[in-house]
Amino acid sequence: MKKWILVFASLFIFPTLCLAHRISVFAYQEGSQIHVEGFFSDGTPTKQARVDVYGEKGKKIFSKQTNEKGALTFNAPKNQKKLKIVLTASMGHRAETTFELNQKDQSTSPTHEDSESPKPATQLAKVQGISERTLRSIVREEVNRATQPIMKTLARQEAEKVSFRDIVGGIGWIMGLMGIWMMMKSRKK
Amino acid sequence: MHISEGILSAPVLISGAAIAAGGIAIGLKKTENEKIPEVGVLSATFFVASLIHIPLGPTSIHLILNGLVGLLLGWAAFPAILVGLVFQAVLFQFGGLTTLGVNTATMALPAVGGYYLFHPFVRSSNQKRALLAAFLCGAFGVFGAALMVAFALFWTGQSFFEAGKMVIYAHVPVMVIEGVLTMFCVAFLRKVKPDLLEVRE
Repeated sequence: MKKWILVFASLFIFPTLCLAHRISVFAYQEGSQIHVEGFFSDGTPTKQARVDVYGEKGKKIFSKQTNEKGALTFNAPKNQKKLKIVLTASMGHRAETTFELNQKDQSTSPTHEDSESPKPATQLAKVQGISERTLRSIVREEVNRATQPIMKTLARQEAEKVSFRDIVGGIGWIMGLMGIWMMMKSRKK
Repeated sequence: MHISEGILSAPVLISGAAIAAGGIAIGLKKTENEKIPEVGVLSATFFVASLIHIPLGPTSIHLILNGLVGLLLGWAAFPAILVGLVFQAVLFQFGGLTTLGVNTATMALPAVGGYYLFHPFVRSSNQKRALLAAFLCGAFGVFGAALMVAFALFWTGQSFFEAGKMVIYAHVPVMVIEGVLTMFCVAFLRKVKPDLLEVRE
């Protein structure tokens, strides 16, 4: 087995040991804008990759390219609840994600909550002399801004799935399979 | 080097699967019992190699080691690479299950080609000649795989020249790294366990 230890060891000498190779894409919404970001699984952004956005019935809405940072920002298309975003990078790499549009988030569209019975916010609004609707939209905007980094991290984590456990597990699987193969072959004899 | 799902057309996927199935059948038949642990270890090596990668320009490349796998296993490279790819697809979402056949073919065919082209020289009693052949075999595996990927993309509709240029240029550093790595492995094996390479006295 000694020789194989070297084979394995030599694999790990190279300094750029990183996890995984594949591309991932994730999207998040900020007000009426949608941000899309793509990256290779070591975190390298997918520069100048094609992004295709599909609407609800699989109809292609448009096709654009990511910038130098592997990101693309576009205005949320109207009358769509769900978008399918497909990222195609060079050399046969492709990833897709579906994204649910939050129509309420789009500050241009009025919300239903406004017509509900008076709440403390209404009273506060009266005192301050600004309309409840304005107040709500201000709060919403601020909350959005504050949670943006968290949303980004979450979206990114969801896109990334490789763990050390998987690697060790995979090696174990391979060894096990070879063991079964060997057992089957030796039984025949 | 893994082609993702949803890129290739059906005829390409089916031909890839057919080539892979043929290669696996030959590989399974040709593998002797004593060789199976070696297949397992190299399959695991292949499985891990893809996790080592190098960011390069707009893309990102990783080690493949199909040249080394082919050199040591011959036709058994097919089952070894298939098993490695299955777990890469399932655990890491590299490539995909529908592209398993194509990906096996793109990586295992050059591996077997490398075996036939370079194994006779790697066995040679002349150390220098053997090491040069090992280097070439490692590099050839990557080059052949890049060519196969370009061909698969071309067959699906991309311009061959463009796709091929991109894939091959991007993999030049990998060819060099794998060539050197294969050379070191062969140098070590010749010293420690020459019968594994069937070195001539």
